[in-house]
Amino acid sequence: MTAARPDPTAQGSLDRALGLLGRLEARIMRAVWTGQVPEPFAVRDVRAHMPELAYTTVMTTLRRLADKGLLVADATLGKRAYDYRSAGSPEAFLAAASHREAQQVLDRYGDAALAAFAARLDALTPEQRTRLEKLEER
Amino acid sequence: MKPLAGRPALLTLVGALVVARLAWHPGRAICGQMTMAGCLGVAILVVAVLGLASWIVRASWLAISATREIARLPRLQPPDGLVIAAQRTGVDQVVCLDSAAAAAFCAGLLRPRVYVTNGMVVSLADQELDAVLVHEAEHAHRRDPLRRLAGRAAADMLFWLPLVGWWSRRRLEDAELAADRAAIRRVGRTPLARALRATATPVAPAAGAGFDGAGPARITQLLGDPPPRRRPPLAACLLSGLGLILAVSLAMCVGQGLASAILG
Repeated sequence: MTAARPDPTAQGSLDRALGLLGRLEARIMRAVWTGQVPEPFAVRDVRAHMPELAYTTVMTTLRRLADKGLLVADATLGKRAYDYRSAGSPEAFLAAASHREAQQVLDRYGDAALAAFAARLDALTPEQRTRLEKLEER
Repeated sequence: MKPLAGRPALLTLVGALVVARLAWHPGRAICGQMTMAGCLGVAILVVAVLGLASWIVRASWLAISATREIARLPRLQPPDGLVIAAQRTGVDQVVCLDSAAAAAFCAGLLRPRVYVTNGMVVSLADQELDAVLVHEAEHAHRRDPLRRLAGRAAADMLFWLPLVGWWSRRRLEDAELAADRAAIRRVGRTPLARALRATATPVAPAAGAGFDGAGPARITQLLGDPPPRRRPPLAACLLSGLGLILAVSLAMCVGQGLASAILG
């Protein structure tokens, strides 16, 4: 009998996504994305897997992950602690991160060290806009 | 031109320079010994040396940080569509970036390369992608990344000469128009117009970004209209004159201080 091997593509995406996070963030997200911590989960569920971490450390890290958009925090009526769940897969996080990174590089160095193709067309006159549309339809 | 009011650090620096000049009364001993021409010569030399040194530092900083950030962008094996488009247009040194954003740019100071995201490849038709590649290849051919770096560093460090910033932006616009002309010659107006529309930046970028203010001029050229007159704004001319007078005046004080130290 052979053990099921993880999909190398998925494993690669997971490793790349975790590489973009801090050490503790990566540790928690690995547990979430690999299903070691079933969703939805609270701070105590994460601590059950990582008992050496302080409650406040886990709580702060989960909040930071929610701020970064990796987790969704759900407030439940009558409960003081939030329930968390993953906002998306490692692939979705990687896609969003690469989109953001490319845009940041263009914004930062667009007129300094590189020549970008995109242009702002918001300053066109209505007449220019109409003529441009006609040109596109040819 | 970025207004001074929107840049508090710059405004503070300019104010501090004016106060420093008003408060500084250099010794008369050296001043009396130097002719006006000599004093002016020393002042201009001081301004030139300080300007050159700060330009080199700023350009190096920009070059290193841009190169590092571009190298960090995730890359992909170019998809077939991009490989075929590169062969069709004869553009080599095309790098594919792993990003859903539809973006293309030319970067690299010594060996410029064309960077295209896979988001751009899937969002454009064949001819539109050809227009993008030819446009960016023209930037590489003209070594525009290096020119932009030089212009931007000069505009940043010679902020007290707003004309330098205006000139730098005009060169940037000229480069975009030249790259568009190359794309029109090779591929035609319609594919370029479609590609421009498909990749248009939807909103004004954040303050300080302003990565392409050439949009209206590019569309004017694309539609075959006469190019707009591009004279430097009067405010930039006046501020540049004032900035030059202030800088040389301050440098005369520095020059006198240096002369005192050297001559005793």
